[in-house]
Amino acid sequence: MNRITGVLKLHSRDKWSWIYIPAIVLFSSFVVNLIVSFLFMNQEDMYTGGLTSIVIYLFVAGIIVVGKTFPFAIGMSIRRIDYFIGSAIIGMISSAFFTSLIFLFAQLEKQTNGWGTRLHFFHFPYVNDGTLLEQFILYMILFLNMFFLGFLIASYSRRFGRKGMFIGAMAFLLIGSIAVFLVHHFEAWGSIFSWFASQTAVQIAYWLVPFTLLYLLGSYRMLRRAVI
Amino acid sequence: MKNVIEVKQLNKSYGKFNAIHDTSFTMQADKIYGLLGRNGAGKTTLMKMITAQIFPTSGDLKVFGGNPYENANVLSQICFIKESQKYPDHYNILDVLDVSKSIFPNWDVDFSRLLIEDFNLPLKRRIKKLSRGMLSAVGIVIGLASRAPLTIFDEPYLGLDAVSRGLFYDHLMEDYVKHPRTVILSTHLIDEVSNLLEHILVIDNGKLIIDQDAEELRGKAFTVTGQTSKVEAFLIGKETVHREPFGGLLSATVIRNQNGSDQKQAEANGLEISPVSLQQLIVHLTSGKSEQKGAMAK
Repeated sequence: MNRITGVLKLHSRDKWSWIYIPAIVLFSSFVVNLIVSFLFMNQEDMYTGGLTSIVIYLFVAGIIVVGKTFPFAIGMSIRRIDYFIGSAIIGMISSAFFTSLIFLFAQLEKQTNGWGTRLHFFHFPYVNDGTLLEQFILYMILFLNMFFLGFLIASYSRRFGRKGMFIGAMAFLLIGSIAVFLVHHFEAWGSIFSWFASQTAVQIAYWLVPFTLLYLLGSYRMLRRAVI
Repeated sequence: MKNVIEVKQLNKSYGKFNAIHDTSFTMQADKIYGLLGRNGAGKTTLMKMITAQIFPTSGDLKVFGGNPYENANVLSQICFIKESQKYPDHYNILDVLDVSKSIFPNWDVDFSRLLIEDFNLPLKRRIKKLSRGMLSAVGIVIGLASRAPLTIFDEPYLGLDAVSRGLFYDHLMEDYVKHPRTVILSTHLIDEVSNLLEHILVIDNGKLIIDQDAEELRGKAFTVTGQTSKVEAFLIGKETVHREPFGGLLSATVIRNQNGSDQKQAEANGLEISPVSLQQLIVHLTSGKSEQKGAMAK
């Protein structure tokens, strides 16, 4: 158990990657949008996609964390499972931190009628339609999903190297193409779109949970056999 | 005595290349071992298997009585400092020390501070900005201050100056006496460490060719020098490790026979006798020039 604490400590030494950089990314985007919304203040609502920056950032964080810390951790005789659990916990803490932050700002944005300028940066129709709890869960699931997807890709690359990445990417493209072809062939687009339209935002988020669990399981299996 | 490491018929191959071939040996607790061999002989591969950083292709490997792979009990007793150890980019020396402190159960904070001072390491400097020698010194500080029951140094002093190397030897010996533990030292600078080593393993081309007590090994051979004809006459019927002519003289290193009578014989013939250094002996044995390489391993 104390080895997991060691891994947490190992990650927590990197406040820049976990807190400062994502916060800067998020809020610089927000500030720019806010300024723009002041400059073009009119009666229309202004929507931006600035929030996706943080979603992408967590995906990237998942990718870079393995390369940055795995060789060091294993070199310091930490077990692979301890590294995995410790890193997963850090990913969850980071996701929870940004979920809370965005949740808070979304409520503020709603209360202040879009910061007085009808800006929609944190709070959107559809996405924020559910109850407060549902909104919170939605962001949490989304962030975790992105982080662990990145983590899975990085673990796969650790395990199988450059050649493995190439083969994996090819296989993914192939499967994707076949899937698109089949959907097209059976003219299933309509029913897929209507299914998505029938779901609330949080219901779609719930569908990400099994995928996230699969990513977790997959990355653990990769790291278990990864060498340095 | 308790065996810390037990290796039986260990193999590691990469495709068709055998990095470690059918290697068996044991290491006992609280001794200092030298793991020697040329570049690419398989030293690092062997140590990485012992610390479960890579996996053996076949064979049996026990460290502290268990398989080291994912074994918290075993791994928590190991500190492996390798020349190629990677650190997270943004870390400074202080970060490395703090993390080490929370990872190694026997970590001694005061000792680590003393070592940092002795090696003149700038605590706040980023690992990335350190010189090669300083980087090696950081590894040495971790290796010593972790006081792990099994401490492995793989080429610990790349780029380190003579003063710092001396410091390393002194601290290692001093701390080893106070806190006995098993130390494996892998290095090219054999003569510098030959006084520290109690037991020597030599790997060549993935095979263990020597596994012997250091004292015994040193006494195994001696060098005779004299006129070529006299030396040649003396060498008949003896196992010669190496011969080196210069001018009308010939210097040859021979394996001592059972009762030591050959040394007396050489003295009687007016040949000059000198002890062979460990480095010379091992260089001879691994340079591929020795005439009867296998004989030493017996």
